[in-house]
Amino acid sequence: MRARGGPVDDTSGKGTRPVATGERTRPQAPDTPGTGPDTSSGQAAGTGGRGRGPLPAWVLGGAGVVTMFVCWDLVVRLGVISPDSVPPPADTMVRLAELLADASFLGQVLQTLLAWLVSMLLASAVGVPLGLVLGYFATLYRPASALVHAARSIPSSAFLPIVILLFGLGLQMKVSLSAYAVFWPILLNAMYGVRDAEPLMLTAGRAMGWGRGRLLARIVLPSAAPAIATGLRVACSTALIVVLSAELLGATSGVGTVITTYQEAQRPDYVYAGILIIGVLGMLIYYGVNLAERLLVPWGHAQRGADR
Amino acid sequence: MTGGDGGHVLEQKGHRLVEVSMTKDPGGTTGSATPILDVRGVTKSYPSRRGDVLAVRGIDFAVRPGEFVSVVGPSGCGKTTLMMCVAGLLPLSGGTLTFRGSPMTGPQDGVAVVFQDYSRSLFPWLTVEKNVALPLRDRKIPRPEIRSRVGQALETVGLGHAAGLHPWQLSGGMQQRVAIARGLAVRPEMLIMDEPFASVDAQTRASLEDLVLRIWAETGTTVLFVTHDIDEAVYLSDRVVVLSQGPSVVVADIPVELPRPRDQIETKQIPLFGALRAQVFNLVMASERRTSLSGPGARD
Repeated sequence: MRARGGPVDDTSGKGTRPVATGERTRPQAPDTPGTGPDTSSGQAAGTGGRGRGPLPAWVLGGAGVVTMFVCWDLVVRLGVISPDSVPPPADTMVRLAELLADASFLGQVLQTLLAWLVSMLLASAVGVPLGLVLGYFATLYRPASALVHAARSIPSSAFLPIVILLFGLGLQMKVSLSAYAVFWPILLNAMYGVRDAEPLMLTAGRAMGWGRGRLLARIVLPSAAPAIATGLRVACSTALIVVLSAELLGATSGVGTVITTYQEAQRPDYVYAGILIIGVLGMLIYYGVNLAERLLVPWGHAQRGADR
Repeated sequence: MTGGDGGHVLEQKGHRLVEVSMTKDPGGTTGSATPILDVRGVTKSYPSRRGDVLAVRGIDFAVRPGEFVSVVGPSGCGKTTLMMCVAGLLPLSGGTLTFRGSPMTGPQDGVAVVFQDYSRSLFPWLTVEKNVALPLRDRKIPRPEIRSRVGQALETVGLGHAAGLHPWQLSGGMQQRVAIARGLAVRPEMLIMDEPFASVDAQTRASLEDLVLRIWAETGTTVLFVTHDIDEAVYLSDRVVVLSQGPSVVVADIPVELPRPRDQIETKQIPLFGALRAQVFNLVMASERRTSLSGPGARD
């Protein structure tokens, strides 16, 4: 078609091909130092193996748990700690099995989880959109961040007396304390997330003729998603801690309440069984959230530890 | 819709540039063909605390359909600023831009831009295929058509096999080829490339240069190529526009009458290549020396 064009195809075509086939999805030598770690971390996250060592992750995780039990058993057997205050693990496991078979105890677990879930939903329903707005508008960002940093340093337990007066000792009290505590990390991460939008990406969007709405939907929100996910992940653990603290401090339902009751009844074996159950709950929530994050915002994992 | 089909104007090898001072009317009929892009007196300044800072001043040049024009200049001279202006991404402080005979006010449908920093201009949450399809999404093009265009663009850059991967799973050179494919998918009349190969290694760079030459020859698209690399500019172009240190002005507009097809080794052994290279080099170095107080242009 073009007078000077014809033969160029062949030569330059050959020039590119070997490179094209040479570079596979896993480049042996990254083209730039900048993208090297990017690519490799992306693949580590992608394969999900996380395999630095020869053993799969669950074996190593299991080894940690077993080690803890062995140490615990040794400490009790050697009499370092009196069995009256810390029961041996075997006894505790028996109590744990009893508790798990007990419908009323499981009801209490559900109470805890309910408070956890409701507080998470409330905090994220308000925190994420508000954070996006505060982060997006430069005029709001600075005044808001000063306020947010002040408010979030007040521990939610400081509000305990007020909250008990307002809501009594039921679900509302737990939910409000927990929602307050997790609102801040959720809000802050959403605020930062919006600002993570890459200026060059926005420029590329504008070059494709996109207006404000499309830039927002197609670039700003997906860019903010990994940070929002981080905020939610942190919040999930915090919410559980706050709900349990509220239960230990006087709420009338939930796992924490059960533990307090057994403590007053001088039954440390049940107390520790309850604590173990809480630990397992926390672990399940953590892994669940991590998995969800990896499935929903894989690009966040890909970029983590890269150029930021 | 593309300049590539049918009525595309073929230039003679070694044509002369349109004289900078000659045409003032947009889409003027001076020269052998109407310029696809006419840059007249383009000036851009940025506000700063100590008053406005001039990045580019009174830039004049024209690009004819199907031409391959490079813009070179010392680093920090405002090349990127100029490119952003020409792409319709920055408002001008002065002067006019004419694209296909009509004044240009914002990003144009017939123009695609490839940026230097591919890792930040591709969308990590989309697959390679969807990244390339992005600019087609709002153009009311039927789905099968989009698919075939995307496939074609990826084949052109040799990445047909990577359609389902994400950009972060690719090497730097491959990512830049995805960015090029994204530019090609819209079948642009003009492709603006802003230092596209500045962050890849030497071999990848050479192969990408040849890839761009091949695409240019096959599609007949006009290419405006911004670079700080003098060899690259001479090797690729029909014409090299040399900018001075910021605030930059056009110091020369040099026709490159090297035979095509070009070859990484043979072309660079031609004495004319060396002469042109030296000429451009001296112009760039002279402009760098002349202004000891470097104007704060755009980023590098």
